[in-house]
Amino acid sequence: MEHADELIRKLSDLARLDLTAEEQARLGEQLPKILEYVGQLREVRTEEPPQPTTPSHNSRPDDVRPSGVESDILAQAPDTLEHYWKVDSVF
Amino acid sequence: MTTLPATIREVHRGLQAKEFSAAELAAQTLERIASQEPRLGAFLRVREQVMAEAQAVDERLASGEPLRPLEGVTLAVKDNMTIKGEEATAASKVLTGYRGVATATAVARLRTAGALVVGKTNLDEFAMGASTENSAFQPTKNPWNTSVVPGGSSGGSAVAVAASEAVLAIGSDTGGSIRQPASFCNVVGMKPTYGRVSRYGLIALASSLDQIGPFARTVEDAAHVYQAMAGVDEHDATTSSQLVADVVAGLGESIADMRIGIPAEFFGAGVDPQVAATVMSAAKVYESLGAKLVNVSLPLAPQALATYYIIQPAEASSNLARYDGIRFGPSVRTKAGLEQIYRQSREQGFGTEVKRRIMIGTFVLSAGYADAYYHQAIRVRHMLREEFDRIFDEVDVLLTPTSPTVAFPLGARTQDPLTMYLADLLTVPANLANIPAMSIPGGFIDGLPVGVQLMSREWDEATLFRAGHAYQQVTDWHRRVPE
Repeated sequence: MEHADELIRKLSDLARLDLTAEEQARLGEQLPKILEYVGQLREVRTEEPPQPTTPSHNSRPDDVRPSGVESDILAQAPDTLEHYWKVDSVF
Repeated sequence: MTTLPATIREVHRGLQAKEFSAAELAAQTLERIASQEPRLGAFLRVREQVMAEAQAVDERLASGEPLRPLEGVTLAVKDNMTIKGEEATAASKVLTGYRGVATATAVARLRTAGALVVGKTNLDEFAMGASTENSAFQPTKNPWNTSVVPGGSSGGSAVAVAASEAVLAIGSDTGGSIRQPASFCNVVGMKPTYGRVSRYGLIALASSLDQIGPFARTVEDAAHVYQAMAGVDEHDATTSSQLVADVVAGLGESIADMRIGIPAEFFGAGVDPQVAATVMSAAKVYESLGAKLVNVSLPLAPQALATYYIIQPAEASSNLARYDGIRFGPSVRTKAGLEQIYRQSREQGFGTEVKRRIMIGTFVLSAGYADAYYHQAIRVRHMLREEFDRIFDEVDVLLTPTSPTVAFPLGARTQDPLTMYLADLLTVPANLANIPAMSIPGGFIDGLPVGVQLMSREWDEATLFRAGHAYQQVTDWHRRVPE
């Protein structure tokens, strides 16, 4: 595993999540301990391929229906244009 | 009314005898909340609208309508469930000011049954925690001793019932978030089978684990709340169309010959010996009622916590990707580009524990580590489920402590996340196995409550409620109230 600071930086990029300097320092100490604890699971002998443990019980035809709440949802957003969320350009 | 009614039965008796009206009950409950909140901090918001709703109940009754199952009964709702048009924050700054676009199915069904929602209760931010100290807004205190935590994440709901601020409450349980605070506060808390209660309108934490369930003083009342919420919902594809048994009607049935399993792994390492002894004395009560105690083993149970703390952060990190400063709440509108809007909005909106879980979840799902961590956890979860399946061929119910310890002091575990995670040691197995489980009051150690956890096989909530009810018929721990 990478050095803790390098790992924190990489995960912070992947998660699109900035951290304060204090959080970075604290997580640098805590994360390796937590990962070591959960890493004990690698010792368990497993054979079967992973499979979903929570089957979907109740599916219905995928028909498009009006939700009736479009304007309520848009009203929560910081910035909208007509019936769209407004986002900075990606490029 | 000299004291507030504590059970559905007491509310209904009072309403029918015209000792009080629903409006009087609601008004006195709001007064009670106002008097307790400076000390306890269980509520994030009180609903003044409940007065008009209570008057509507009184009008129904005056016009001769029959009493509905929860008619006029006060209910507190964890603030990670939405009510249309009203604020729901999940105790996170990210959702400050967010208003529900629909009413959660569980809440809607309880209101249809006549319940009166008095307010929204505090929780650990996004239900991540075991003490309610991770709320972005306030800690909640335990009414048995305000220097200890109430448990979490549904600490506000547990305290609301324990401190007579509501007769009933609902919470969500992903790894013990209903049962553990119920245990710390001396109330009943129950997690149904995964798929039994709709999560529509529940702000998601970990979608393969989350379930909504009741808090009450008695198992009988918890059964009524469960019954009103349970069943298929077209808005949640994980809800099952399996028949929901009438658990209330089955409560009085005998438990003689019930086989109760005592799994050694839940009484050993990491469990306070005094807690283990208290819970074993509850097992003896069952024996005196004619149940048979059977020593059983779940060899994978000690791996459950590590399994949980891989799967849960993985799912949480995915679910929380939606809080990006574009669709909800506070947004840092920097000119530095879209990615910086995401990164800075998330930095400012999320608390420390939420960030920690996002980082753990991102790690266990990342290229190079996903097989050793996430996929391995899924495999172990499947094996653990099979272990539980086999055990329930031998026994009807498992009996264990709910929590390894009684309630711990405020601040004692906030600096060390691993010790906080250990509080979930005995509750996460039921979530991983999808089975129903319940915590019932089972004694005290130095003035702090001890919860007894019961688990039953998938979809067999009826046996769970019957077992819990039988215990409360011959014990009075649940009648003890703080103060």
